[in-house]
Amino acid sequence: MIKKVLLTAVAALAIVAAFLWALSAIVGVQSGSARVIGFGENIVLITPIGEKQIAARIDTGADFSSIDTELALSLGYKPDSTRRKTIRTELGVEQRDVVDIKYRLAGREIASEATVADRSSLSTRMIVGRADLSGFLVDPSEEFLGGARKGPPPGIVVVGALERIQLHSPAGNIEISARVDSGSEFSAIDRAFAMAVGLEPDENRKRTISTTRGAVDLPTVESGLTLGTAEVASTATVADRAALTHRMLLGREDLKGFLIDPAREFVVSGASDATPLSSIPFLRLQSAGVARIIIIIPMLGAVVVLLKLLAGVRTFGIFGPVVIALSILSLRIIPGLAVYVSLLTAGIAMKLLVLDRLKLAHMSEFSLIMFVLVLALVGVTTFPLGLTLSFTDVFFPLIITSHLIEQASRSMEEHSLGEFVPVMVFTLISSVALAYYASFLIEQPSSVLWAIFILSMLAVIVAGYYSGLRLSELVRFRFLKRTHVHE
Amino acid sequence: MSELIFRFSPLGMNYRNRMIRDLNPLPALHLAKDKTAFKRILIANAVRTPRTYHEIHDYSDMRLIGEFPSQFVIKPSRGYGGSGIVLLNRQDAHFVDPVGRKYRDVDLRSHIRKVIDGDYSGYLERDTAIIEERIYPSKKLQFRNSLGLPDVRVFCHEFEPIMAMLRYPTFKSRGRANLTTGAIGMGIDIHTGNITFIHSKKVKNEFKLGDLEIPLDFRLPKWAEIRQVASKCSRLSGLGFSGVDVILNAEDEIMVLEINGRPGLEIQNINEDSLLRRIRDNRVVEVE
Repeated sequence: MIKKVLLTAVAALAIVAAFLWALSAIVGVQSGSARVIGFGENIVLITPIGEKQIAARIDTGADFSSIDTELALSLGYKPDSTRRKTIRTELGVEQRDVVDIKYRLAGREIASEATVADRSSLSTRMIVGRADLSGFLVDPSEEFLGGARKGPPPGIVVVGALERIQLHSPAGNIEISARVDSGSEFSAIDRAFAMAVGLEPDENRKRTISTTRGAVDLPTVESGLTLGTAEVASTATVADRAALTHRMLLGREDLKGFLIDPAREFVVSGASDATPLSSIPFLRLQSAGVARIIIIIPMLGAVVVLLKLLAGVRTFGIFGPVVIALSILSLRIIPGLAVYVSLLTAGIAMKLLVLDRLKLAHMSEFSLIMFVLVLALVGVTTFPLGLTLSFTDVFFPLIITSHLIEQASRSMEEHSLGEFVPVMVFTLISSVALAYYASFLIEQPSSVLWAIFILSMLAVIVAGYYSGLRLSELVRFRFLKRTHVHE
Repeated sequence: MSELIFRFSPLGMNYRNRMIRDLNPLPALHLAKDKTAFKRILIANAVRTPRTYHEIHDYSDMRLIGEFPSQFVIKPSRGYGGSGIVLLNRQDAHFVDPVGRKYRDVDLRSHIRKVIDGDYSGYLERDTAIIEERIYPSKKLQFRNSLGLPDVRVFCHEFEPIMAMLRYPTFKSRGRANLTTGAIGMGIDIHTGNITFIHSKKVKNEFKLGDLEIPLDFRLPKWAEIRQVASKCSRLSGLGFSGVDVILNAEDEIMVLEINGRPGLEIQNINEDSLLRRIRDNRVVEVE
């Protein structure tokens, strides 16, 4: 008995280790292929009235891209005041109109949305925010790199868009989370916070900072800080950051020698319980609003139903692929799939190699699978892989995977691998396709979205009346077809 | 309307599901799914069916294991596709299945527990394990290299047999006659009972079709009676669209194993004919 329990534990650990190894390999490949861009880049806006090249600031401190009002209007964009975004700036919280934009940055075409603001007092008419920067690395000490280089050069430290730093203050070393901001030249610190930790603003050494509401003169403060393993001597601007989420931001001056990965957080400071990570496409999902996400769910379900009724594609359930698609979307395609495939492999391996030998009651098997999956996920978040996952990133995968493993291990037991594999493969393929379809839908204007919504409903009804052959049955009964055509 | 459009095409899943909705009332489908309940109806109507030794409803019934005969079959009452069915013979202290896999007392208990927990009958739905008489096939259906118990699947539409196949278990199907588990299917001429075609979905090397030495003009014994029994069963069940599984035991008696309210469509490939065409013919002329 004890031997068996030990065997289970050892096998579970081995599976978790293999899982982590596979994931680290995949994540490694991911960050290696990113294009390096500078803090300023020329982008080509693809506008209703043609293409226009403008210089834009690459701003890892901004959630979303933003464009100057006058420029937007002159390019033929019509700001949509029905879906405004709440933007936090040093000047407080404001509501900004949104335009749908499309542009080329370092050879990549990006379809996104930008908030509209008066940027006439600023040096660049447009900023590119984190929501559009997934897959790029930003070099805070250079401009106009154009993405010619790929991946971080060896020896260069990559930091995320949010890091925990040690601030050396008269009150001691204080750990705080700081926004890593390629859009700002100097670091900045909250006035009240600085005073509280004993950092006195030097009113004699002021700096002029441009904001959307004009230039202001602000005092500075000198202090040392630790970012990862590097010691930085910083002169930060002291400003009122009460409206902002983080007490401090790190500007380009203090980030020399680093590269910024806008899609990740806490890269050099490890996982942190401070702030949950919002990976980039998920930001877009969040910004899309609850209503938009809810109405696309049945639309995705309709696609699965059509695939089943008309093409005979076999998947695990109808809403299985839908939920997988949504969580893939929140994790980005490759890591999302990697998480799923490795979770599934770990779970099924556990079931077939260990649990089937132990002959446990059905429900305790199910429960053990959950333990192994959670162990694997906790491993991912604490292991120094540089991959941090938030609650939403892991919750759905966990629930769906444990259910899929149940179904999958049963169908493998009763039939053969040959029957299980195609169903699994079709489930994953259709999930990826649905993820792309969902990201397409999210970006559509409301009128188009509702039109597709109604059409999907009608399509499902029509398909429900269809009683002809499914596409796959043309293959299954191919010999019959031939004999009867000649009759 | 659709029948006219797809008249020359095979019956597909979409149309089959429509026929199930139209012809198979829900209570009838529930009855067909529950083998224990349907067996009682068969016995009450003088249709032969394998004898039930025990019905195991919960863990406390496991004490009955000591009373098991020396050979028996374990079946999940609500199983589908032949899953969970095990044929066992006592050998010294343990049991063996037809392909020689050993079942110790623990394995037997674990299998029965899985059946009760509903492992073979949909998602975590509780089930009953049936311990029933092991039937040996008629001498007339045994050929060289045949294994296990062959059965006849008779497809009935509006209570009339329209298509049938003979299914031979193989080594790969572990003695089960279901095509999805790897059994061999043979087409049967619905009027004469003659074997027409031999097909297998999965078997490649373990069991060559040619090894099963079946005479070219082989005709199923008692064919007219088999058709009558199948028709009677579909009437008893109330299913207008069904597959009846019939066997011939060692005494050449016809026995009914079960009735299926959602029969598979592979029978069309086995008979190289379309069910839709047979259904149309069934409506035009009542055969016999």
